[in-house]
Amino acid sequence: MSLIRSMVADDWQKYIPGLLLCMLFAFVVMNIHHVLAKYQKADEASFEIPRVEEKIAELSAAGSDPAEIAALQARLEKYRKDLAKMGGKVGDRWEWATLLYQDLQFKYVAMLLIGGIIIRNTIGVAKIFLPGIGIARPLIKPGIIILGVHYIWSDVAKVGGAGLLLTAVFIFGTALSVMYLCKKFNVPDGLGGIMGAGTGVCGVSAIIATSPVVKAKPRDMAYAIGTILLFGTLMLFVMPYLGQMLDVSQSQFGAWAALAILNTAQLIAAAEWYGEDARNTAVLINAARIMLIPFIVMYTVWFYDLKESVAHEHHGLWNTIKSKFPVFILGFFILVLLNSLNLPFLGGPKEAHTPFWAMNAVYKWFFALGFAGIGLSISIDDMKKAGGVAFLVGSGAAATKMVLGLIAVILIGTELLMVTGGH
Amino acid sequence: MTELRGYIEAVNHPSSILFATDGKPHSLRAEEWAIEMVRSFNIPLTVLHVKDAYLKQFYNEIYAQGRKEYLEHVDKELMEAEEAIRSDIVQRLSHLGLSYSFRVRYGDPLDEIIAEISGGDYDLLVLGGKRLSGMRAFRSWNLPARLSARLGTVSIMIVREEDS
Repeated sequence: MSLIRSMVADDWQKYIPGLLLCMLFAFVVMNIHHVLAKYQKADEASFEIPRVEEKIAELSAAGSDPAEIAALQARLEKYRKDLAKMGGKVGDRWEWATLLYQDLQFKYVAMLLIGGIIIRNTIGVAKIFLPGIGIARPLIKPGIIILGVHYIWSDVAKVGGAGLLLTAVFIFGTALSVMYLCKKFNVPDGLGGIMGAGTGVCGVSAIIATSPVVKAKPRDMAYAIGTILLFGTLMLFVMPYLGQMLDVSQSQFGAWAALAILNTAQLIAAAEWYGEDARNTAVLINAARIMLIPFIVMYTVWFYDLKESVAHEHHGLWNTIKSKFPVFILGFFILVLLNSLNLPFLGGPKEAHTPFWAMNAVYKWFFALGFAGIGLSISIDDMKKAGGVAFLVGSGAAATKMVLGLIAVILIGTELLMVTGGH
Repeated sequence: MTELRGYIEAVNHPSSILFATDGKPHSLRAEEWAIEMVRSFNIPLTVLHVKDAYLKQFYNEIYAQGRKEYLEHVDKELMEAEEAIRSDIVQRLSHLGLSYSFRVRYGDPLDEIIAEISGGDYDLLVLGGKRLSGMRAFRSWNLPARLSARLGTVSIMIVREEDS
């Protein structure tokens, strides 16, 4: 009993209203998403059915390969089911659903983020909800752990390996350039350190890990966090559309987002918004990226020659590395391992009524809760804190990473960045 | 300053002043004005410093590592800032032999200044304001303007920063 008590925060009651608000918001949005998806599918079905029927007739008349005809018939059957779900008939159109869901990509991610931002910055969020909204954001974590069932070790070796190499080059390249330029232009070490780590690894998380080590000043931290939130939010909304315009494949987009978007929550939101394959690649590369946080902290220590103070205040360098390691990511890799073993009783994410299938069914709800928390906590006032040297450094690093990241993923190609999942 | 004193003496002068400071240059200029009024009218001065909890809200970031260490660092930095502000103003006020009290609040500056005014017997709030124009005005949080909009009966004196 005392063990359970020790795991519960003393003031847990204060989180309830915000969590309930996020749950309600996520529930409403997920339902709108499902309805919109059904109408879009029905619209597509209504448009495609005559074409597929015609094609089948053509192929049958020409005595084509029965397997090809069977595949088309299966597709026709699926279209008929989609249309029947909405009680429609061929010729009925729901073009508004296609416009919203497919053309404008108005899916649950966008609805939660944009809706949350609008609510937060117009009618506002009462103070009673704020603690719970803050705690909803990390609920993406269990979602990420569950996504481990989408990977096998060969994915980790291939995509994670490529991702690790890419992220290592980008992270240390950015951190090195930013810290060097900051030192050259006499920017205080505290600000140079947090901007180097923040623009290199994953934004606010890296600033939190680094600021005590480099003894950053509150004003600089506010500037740095504001800048990173501002650029993360801009990229979150710009990159998915930019990716579509440039015809970037889903896997390439996932890698690009993992390189260019600093804030982890925002990068996962952007990738999930772009599509399932984009998300799978982004999550894996991000897992490789966040494991580099302790090393970037140690690099900062070395760069600013803070070894003595760290050894004194943090009981040694090894303890500093340990304290900065994102332990929860081990949960993700345990699931990857279990999925790789292909144990029949665990099934797979697409094998109905198996444990992995059930886990896969709930990950979206964790994400939805987390995205509701992100949307409702994006305050324009927070981003207005962006300024000073941090703004110049952050904007330069963000723009450079976005362009170089795009070139890198285009050169690498889709194949190396695609997650198979093994099932 | 003498003209100001003459004008205020001709009407009703304030009987209790609240001076809100964050220790930044625009606040230091406002401090001079607050001290001058306190000296002129021999009235009590309350100095208020609000420790802004803005940075603490980010400790729960998804991959944040070393949360406890971060929170301790933010607390330590805020404490040092408070000490620097306190020692500076206390030294000046003690040297001038003026009556004062120093209060510290924790939270959102706008809400905390309003809460302090509601709970106290002040009739003038003095604070510094940055000179804002163009993009800087758009990006600014503009605390004085927000305070001005929310305060009912208490007068506000916003002392603008000097040309740099």
